[in-house]
Amino acid sequence: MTKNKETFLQLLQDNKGIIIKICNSYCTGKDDRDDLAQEIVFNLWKAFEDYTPDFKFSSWMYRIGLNVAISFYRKEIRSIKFSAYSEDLIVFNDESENKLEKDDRSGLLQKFIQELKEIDRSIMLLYLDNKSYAEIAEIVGITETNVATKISRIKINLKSKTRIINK
Amino acid sequence: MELDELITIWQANDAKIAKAVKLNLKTLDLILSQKVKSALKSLLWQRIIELSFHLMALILLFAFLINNINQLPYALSAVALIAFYSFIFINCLKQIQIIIGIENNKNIVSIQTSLMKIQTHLLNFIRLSVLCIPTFLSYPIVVAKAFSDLNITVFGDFDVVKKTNGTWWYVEMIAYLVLIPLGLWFYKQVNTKNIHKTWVAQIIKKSSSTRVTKAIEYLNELDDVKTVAM
Repeated sequence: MTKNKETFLQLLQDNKGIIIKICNSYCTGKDDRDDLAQEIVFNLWKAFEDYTPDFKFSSWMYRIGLNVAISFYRKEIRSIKFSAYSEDLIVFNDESENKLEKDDRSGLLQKFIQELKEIDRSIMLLYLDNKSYAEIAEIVGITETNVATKISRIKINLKSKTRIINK
Repeated sequence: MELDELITIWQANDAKIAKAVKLNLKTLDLILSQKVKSALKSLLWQRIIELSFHLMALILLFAFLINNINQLPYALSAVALIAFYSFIFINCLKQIQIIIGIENNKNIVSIQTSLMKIQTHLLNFIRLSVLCIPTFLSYPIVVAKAFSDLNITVFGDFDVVKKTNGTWWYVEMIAYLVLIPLGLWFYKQVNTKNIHKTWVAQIIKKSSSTRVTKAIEYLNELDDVKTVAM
């Protein structure tokens, strides 16, 4: 069990970017983001027993993370009492938080993503993470053709939005 | 600014964020050691208890039917109740199947669909309540006869069929003939796929919570995701 926990923590540290990306896409407030991160970590740990290395850890993590995020966003399921922890789960190194938040352009895309419907948001997030259509289809549970259609529609939507802003 | 450019910036920023943040080990440890009672587990127990009651009712009704197989009014009333309980038994079994099947490591659409189906369980009660209206006439017949068969005389002899010279049973049969087709029609109409019909939407809105309505809308949205075409 201890070894399991160590492996889990190592894999979690290596892939923490996924949790942050999901949290940033499904939550706007800092507190909500941290609450969601805790919920995702808790659910990942719960499911880790059944994890087999046949699957890519990042894909497995995306499946659970996105499922938890959508349920969290829709306020369906919240397993843990967030107020129990006095310290945040996600902490920034030194002053990096302030430096990163100044990049308006990536913030713009972030805003676009947050405006998408829950499932479209998942698809876009996976697409931005360079996942193949086959992987996206497997994680989301739709056909590759549907993934391609969805992505092209989202792109058209985003393009028109960037055009409006550029004007 | 082009979309591709924006995406490149976003990905670069993403990498920067991943480097800039760390997970608080103290909080991480607290999360991992937390014992939480699963909401789905308690829901599963609720459904198992519900299922046990339906099963018990079915066993008793079958025993009653075997005991009264040659007496048409009692046998038919028991068959009607058996049909109704079988229906809700299967419904309950399906719910249990959905709950057991929920594992977050399955794909997003299937998990979200299952969660929404659990949310809309209340809708099944509404549909079944209408469908079961004629069975209210069968209960007095079956219960009274069962008491009489078991020599339970504490409530006196109130065999409804005998007391009303069979009139109750005729009324029951007429009610079945008229209300069952109506009940089945209602059952078929009031479902998640027909939320676009104003009267269905009104019934769902008035008889259940906003949560159920939202779940139905999301369920239909998930169906659209699955069927989106070029």
